[in-house]
Amino acid sequence: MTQETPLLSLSAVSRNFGGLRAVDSFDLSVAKGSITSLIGPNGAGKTTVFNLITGIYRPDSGKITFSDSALIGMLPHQVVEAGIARTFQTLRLFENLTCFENVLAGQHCRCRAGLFACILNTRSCQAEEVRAHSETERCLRNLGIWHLRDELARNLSYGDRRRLEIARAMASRPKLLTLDEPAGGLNERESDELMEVIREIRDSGITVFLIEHDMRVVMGISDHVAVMEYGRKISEGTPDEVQSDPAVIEAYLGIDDEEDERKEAGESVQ
Amino acid sequence: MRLEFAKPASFIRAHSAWFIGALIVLAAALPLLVSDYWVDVCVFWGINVLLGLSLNIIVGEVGLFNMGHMAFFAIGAYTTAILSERFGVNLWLLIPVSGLAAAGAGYVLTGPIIHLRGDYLLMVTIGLNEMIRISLINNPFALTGGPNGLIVMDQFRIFGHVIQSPADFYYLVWAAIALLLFCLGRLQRSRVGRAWNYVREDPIAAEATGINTRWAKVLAFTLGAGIAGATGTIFAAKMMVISPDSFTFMESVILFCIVILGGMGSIPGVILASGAMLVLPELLRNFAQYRMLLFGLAMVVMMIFRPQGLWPSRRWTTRLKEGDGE
Repeated sequence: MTQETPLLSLSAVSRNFGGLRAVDSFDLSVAKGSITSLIGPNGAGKTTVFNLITGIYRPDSGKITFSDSALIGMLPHQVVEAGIARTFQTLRLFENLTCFENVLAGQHCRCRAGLFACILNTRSCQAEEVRAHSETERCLRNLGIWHLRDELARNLSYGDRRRLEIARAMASRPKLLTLDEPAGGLNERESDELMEVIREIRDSGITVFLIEHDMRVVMGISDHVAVMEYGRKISEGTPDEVQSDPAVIEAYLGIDDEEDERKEAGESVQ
Repeated sequence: MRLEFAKPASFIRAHSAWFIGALIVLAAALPLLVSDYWVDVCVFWGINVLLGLSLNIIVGEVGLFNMGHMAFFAIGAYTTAILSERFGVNLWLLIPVSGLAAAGAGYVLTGPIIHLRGDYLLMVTIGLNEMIRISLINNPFALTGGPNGLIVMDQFRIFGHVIQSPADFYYLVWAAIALLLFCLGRLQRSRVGRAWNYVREDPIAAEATGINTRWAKVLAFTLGAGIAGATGTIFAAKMMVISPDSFTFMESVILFCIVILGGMGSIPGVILASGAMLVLPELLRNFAQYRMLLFGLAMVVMMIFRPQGLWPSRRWTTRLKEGDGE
């Protein structure tokens, strides 16, 4: 599954906010065709890494390469055009537009019609619209929300809103889909369905990179996991390797003192 | 299978051909039915509709608060007056020329401020309006005639017929509206129009979905300014005298109210609200001194009971062109 050349690679990327070093010479590579997860305690800098990749922030130093081209300096919409689509931790849908229109937004960067082409409704403009509509339909059907296409986004249930956001990202025909906590706020059944959706996306040839808190989801679907704490990468590997890494256990469960206390407590109960 | 967008069905839409036909016949016959005074009122209503529609692109479709739209209208009107009087340029030609002048001004002036949000942009556009108006009063290079303004002697001519009576202007203005409505209708359901709406709904999500938000905003501002400028030519020809008094901040506020009252992004809303803003004061002439008070009251009442506007815009829904795809 892992190939020699990664689709996305970050090398020695740093970003400061005032005195805070949010991301500290961070390295990461996302293999083509994989599901790669980034985990870590709250405030570890995961979302900052996301925002650095998607062009919302600019790194203070370091390099970000996506399929052999440098991403640094690109504006967010140019990053999407280059082939990286994203979703947000707190859903950001176009609430007053229909689901169909929401997903159609993803196709915007794949169309070219300008002001005059739109007013004159030229042939190429019409052809583009037909293509964009069928692509939108495909994405809505894949995510199982085709029947909700004419519903306003704000009327959807939480699970469907998550799906809609993924559909919108998929509509830009990305090479890399980045998901910021896709399972946040979902119940067990919904997150099972989500895992299925993410697997299907991976199987269709799109690389997936996600941040997630739900360990069941992370360990269930990831091919590769990176762990972050205080802006640094502390561990990396397959889900099994990461789970047994002492550094990870320490970051999540605290240092050995507590472990000792727990043992003592256990003994006293006995 | 092909999908297309369609407005949700309603009685009016189901019989739209009849309604539109009846409206056109009624509109065409109007100058024969009412006095010149009322035809004149309809001309100014039409000019306000043109301005309202141009501002609706900026405020309604993209959600950029612009309370200085009269600046672009003024640029268009003064371009017409100067080029017509000094160089004898034909008025028909001056419609696109004034439009381009105002669009160019819109492009240049809003470039540095387009990233501002909400109230901040609003304040800068108010400043813009005042800057333009005061520049006109100061008579730069003896071009604008200072507080007295300029006179436009030329008239529109079509096949030897001079457009000068209220009825002539009535047809000119409402034909321009019909043309504009056709273009805006196309734009609303196109890639460009949708991009504007995405930016209005959530600029950050729009940018992260691959929409060049800066392009969308600047395009809307430039187009809105251009239409206002082209309207300035018609206004100058109608008034024959233009002065800075016509382009005050107050006029910009009224225009802004038209878009908000009508319903942001709603074309019929703009037509309705600009009529209400113009025709009602004519009816309430006896209460002229309370006019602003009534406007304020109307705004407050609207915001409480109908914040979506008089005729809120509705989303287009998909309709399968051939068969059902379920």
